Amino acid sequence: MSFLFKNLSLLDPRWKEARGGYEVLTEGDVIKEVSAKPIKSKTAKVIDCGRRTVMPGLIDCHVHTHHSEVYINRMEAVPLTLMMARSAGRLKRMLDRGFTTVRDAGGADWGTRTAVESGLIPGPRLFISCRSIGPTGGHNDRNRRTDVGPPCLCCNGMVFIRCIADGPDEVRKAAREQMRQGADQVKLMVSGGVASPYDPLESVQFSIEEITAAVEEAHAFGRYVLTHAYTPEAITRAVNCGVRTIEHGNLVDAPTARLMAKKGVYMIPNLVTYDAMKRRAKELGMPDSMLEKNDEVLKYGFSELEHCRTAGVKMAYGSDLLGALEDEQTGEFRIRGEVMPAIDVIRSATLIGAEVVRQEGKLGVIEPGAFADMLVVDGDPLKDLGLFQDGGPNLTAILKAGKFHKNAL
Amino acid sequence: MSQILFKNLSLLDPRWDEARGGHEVLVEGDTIREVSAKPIKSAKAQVVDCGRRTLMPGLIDCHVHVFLTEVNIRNLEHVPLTLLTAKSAELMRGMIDRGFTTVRDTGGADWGIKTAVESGLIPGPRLFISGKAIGPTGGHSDSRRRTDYQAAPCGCCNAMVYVMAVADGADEVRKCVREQMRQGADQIKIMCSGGVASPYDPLDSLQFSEAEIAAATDEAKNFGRYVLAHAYTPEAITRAMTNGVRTIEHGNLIDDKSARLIKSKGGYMVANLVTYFSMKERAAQFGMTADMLAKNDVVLEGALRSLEICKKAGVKVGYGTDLLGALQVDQSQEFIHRAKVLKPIEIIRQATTVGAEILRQDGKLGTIAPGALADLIVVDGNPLKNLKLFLDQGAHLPVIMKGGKFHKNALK
Repeated sequence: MSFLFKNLSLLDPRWKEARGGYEVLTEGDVIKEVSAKPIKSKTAKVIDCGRRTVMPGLIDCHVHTHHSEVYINRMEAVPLTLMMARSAGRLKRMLDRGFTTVRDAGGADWGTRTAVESGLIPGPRLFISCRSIGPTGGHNDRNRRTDVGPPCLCCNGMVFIRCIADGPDEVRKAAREQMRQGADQVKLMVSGGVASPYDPLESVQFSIEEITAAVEEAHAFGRYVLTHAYTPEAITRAVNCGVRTIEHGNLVDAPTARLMAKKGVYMIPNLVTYDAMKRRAKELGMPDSMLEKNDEVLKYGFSELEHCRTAGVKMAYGSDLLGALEDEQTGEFRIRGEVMPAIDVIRSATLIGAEVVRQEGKLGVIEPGAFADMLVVDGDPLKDLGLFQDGGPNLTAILKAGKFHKNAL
Repeated sequence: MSQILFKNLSLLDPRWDEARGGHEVLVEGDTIREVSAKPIKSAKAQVVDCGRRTLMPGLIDCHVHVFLTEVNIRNLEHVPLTLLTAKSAELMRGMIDRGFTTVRDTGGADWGIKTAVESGLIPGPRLFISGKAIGPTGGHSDSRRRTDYQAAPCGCCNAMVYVMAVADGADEVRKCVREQMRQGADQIKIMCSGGVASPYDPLDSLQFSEAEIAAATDEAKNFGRYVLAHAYTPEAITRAMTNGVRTIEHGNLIDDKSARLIKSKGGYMVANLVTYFSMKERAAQFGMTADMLAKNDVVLEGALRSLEICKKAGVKVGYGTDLLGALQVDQSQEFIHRAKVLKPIEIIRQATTVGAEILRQDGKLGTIAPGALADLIVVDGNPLKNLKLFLDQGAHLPVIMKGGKFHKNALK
């Protein structure tokens, strides 16, 4: 199947503005030709975009497909069947919002990815981490204090999305296990977190030897490590051990940002989740102990963006929204747009996202040889990032791998 | 509450022998409020003009497996529960697309998938679930390979272990039954004879002792549930019925005597001819092994005769299919197979009123009557004259409604 997109304004994120007069030809699942002159094709179906903007599909580098409860402990009462039925809707809605690729930062397994790839359920391309890995008592350890440990790792949604490892050998084995299960990257918890009740935010989780073991093993298998980290200490340890991306990173300071820039480490902020939790998580069951930690990290959101921009750290787009808060996935555009130029925010959700998932030239761009993941936007997002809001009504067409998920043209 | 008025239709109430014109049906919320031979007045109802088509109750299939997504069941070992759910969602959509608004899952489906359908997360028929099917070590529901000595490490790491349970001894069986009911089972499934899709157990083997069967039925009854039993031979059927089982599944090799026993106990048979015909025709291409296909030939031979024996003894037979994985597209072919020995109205009753009795939902399902749940289909023609209208994946069903909500409405 081949489509010829005409009469459009092309937003190539490498430029600073959308440019008229271009045409784009897709063939199968890839982009075949992009030209400022009319493209000739006898077989392609012509799509008249009515002067709307054509841009690459969006990339969200920090989602949790299976975290369908805001107060995450409630996943204990969700069997995997019900969890997956919920996730089917969550994945479809991500695609409805224009996200044609997401990186799952813990939880999604190869079964979920296979379900999407084989067309059983509509959803974005998934780059999966399988279970996130953390130490006993850390952000990843969701046992109640009264629990000695779960009987198995698949009886409910809570135990399915995470695992515990202690000591370099166990961490190495846990990383191997995730990669055996099809992980595209390996997720480590190296500091305290918001949605876990017992670990202090500023706690430093995993020893240097443990982080190093995971990094070594991920490299050995051709994968990389992403790390949950909030404080300069946790970020510094992780970066010095060779991790490739820092997740959240709210409390980063100027020296730590410079270290990240020097080592070429990416930051994936997700300011929207703290903002959304502040407003809505209490009514959705999140306890005060977590909300207090949320207030703490929320304070540092804008300074994080500032430190990273000043130091030259590349930032990708993340959201990290739990449960019903998922509907704010594009809210990150609004928040970052308050302090950054629109083109920079769009680059974070296209070009930089593609770098993070190691798909430069294949995702996040409109160029020959790239996957045909494209959006037709009713307006110019560079002038109004609000066009991405509200679940996708301003996205006239959504194309993933050369197939229309939506086509209102 | 929203109202929908169906007009200009021919009503096929399975209690009658024919479809009757001139009727109107008013749905309010999730139930049928009024059925009348005279025009029904409602100021606020949305009117659906059926264009003289046939309106009838949604179909009921009393023997399905929404989680048996692979024809060669062994392949379920390679399916994690996430992928299983995604595959099952597609199978269930196919069922409701074909007009089956209710199905009884006879082993596998859990409360999670039932909740997913009930809450509208995924489209599908009403589910009456059994939880895991229960059988003895070495029986039809023992999922292990011969090279597996111990049981699986846990009961949820793959689809194969998730849909079956093994219990030995009356006490273990009783506990296992309790566990399924704790997990929301609407009925309990036990294995009382050998089966086709299990490689090691002889077809004519008797599975579970009488004390084990009695423990299961006693416990189910205590909790307000009942037991359905997988059984092929007269011996297995007889042991099941004398120990309190309510419905016999498959029953291909039934004889007059065991049929009379079912009748005298007020039991039901749920036949499923189509699965044997479809397996013979196509299962090999999906990887079913020769030892299973040989067993299939044995039971296939008795299939049509079992319906005649039940009819003669006055045993009520429910509509079942039992199709595995990709073969589930043949679900409506059961109508055509049964038509070789039964009249269309008899088969339609099996798939409506008899099904409702089996589910203990008489008057609520399988009927178009005030107070019944609004599960109905509109058929492009009269199925009493042409059962093939149920074929082609629902192409001849312009309307499918479940619980007062349109799954499909092509008459807008």
